Amino acid sequence: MAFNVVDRIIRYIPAHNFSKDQERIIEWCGDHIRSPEQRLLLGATALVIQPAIDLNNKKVDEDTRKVSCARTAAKIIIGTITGFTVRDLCIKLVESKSKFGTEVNKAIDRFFTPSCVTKHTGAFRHYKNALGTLLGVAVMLITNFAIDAPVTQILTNYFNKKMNNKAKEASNDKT
Amino acid sequence: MTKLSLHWEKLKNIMFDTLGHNPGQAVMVATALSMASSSVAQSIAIACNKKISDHQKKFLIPQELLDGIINVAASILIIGTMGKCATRLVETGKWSTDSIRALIAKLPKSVQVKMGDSGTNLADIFCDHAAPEVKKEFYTVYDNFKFGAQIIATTIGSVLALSVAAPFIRNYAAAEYQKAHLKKQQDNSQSVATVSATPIQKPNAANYHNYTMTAITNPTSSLKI
Repeated sequence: MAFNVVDRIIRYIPAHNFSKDQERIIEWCGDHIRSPEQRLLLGATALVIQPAIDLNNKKVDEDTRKVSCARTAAKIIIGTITGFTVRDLCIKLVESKSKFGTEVNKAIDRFFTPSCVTKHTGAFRHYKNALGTLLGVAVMLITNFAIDAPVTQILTNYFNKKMNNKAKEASNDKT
Repeated sequence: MTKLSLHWEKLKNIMFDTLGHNPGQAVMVATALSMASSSVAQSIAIACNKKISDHQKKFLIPQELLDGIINVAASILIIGTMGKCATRLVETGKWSTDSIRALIAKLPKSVQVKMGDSGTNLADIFCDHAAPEVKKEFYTVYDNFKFGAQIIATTIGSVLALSVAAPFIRNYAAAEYQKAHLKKQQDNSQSVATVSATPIQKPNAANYHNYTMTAITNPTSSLKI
């Protein structure tokens, strides 16, 4: 069912043959863009696009629009910083505890190593990244409440105050 | 080895089989889970923020909850579909590389490869027909290309879904909710005002309110103050 939809979509995508250089760029992306980098890219684009969408939302009054924009910007900044940091640290933790063979000094070094792994392969690298990401999500269930939400609140109030002060200054200049 | 460590070893091998060969699925589930939990945490934070007025909370809380729901749906639908599209494009050979084409040329002449056909699966063809050394080289090139294409597709998908589509949908829906809520609140306050303005009438009793109002609004009447 899912593949039927996908097959229908790909019918409309033109065929393409990638050159050696393009292939190298695609492979580089596969090697270097892990979930923390994806989160960083997502955060950067969201910071450019989302506050602008909120600020131009004519369906709500101006005050709500400003608070909504301040909150969105604050949420993206904090979410991206904690999201990137937690995921990156968790992937590093999984990597440091996924050793085998002569790399193992203590028993804990192979805590995440599957017994079927005997050499460094692409699948093993993907496993470490994905497991680190999943571990990161588990940690983020805590940090979302402990760090993201309260710091977003502080930053929202700060941005809101700044925006109100600017608006007041502008109206004073007019009068 | 204890029972617990045996189970852990089994679990690690299962995870290696699933995550090692299809990491995109795990990342998609992880994104959806983190979006959902973040949305709940942020909603609680807005509800507790004393510097945001109740009127604004009526927009921001549904906005946040809708953000979570839409983000989860977008993660599964758009990002998942884009990842699968990239996989199928590489599997069928519709998107290929010079290196893959060079390896296809090394297949026995009896094997016909229809590039871009929905029934084609390059990995299966090489598994069944290629010589061992060609097979090994193919899988290295093919896996790297497929994974790279998946990553690029899911990254573009996540930007489109979570940064562009989701904010428009959630803003529209949250504004509608706020409007409906404010209208309901206005209706309630209007009916309260009407009730408080009308004095309680006793049956068959003289109505002083009507008496004074008629005197004011109709000065020509016989009723004078």
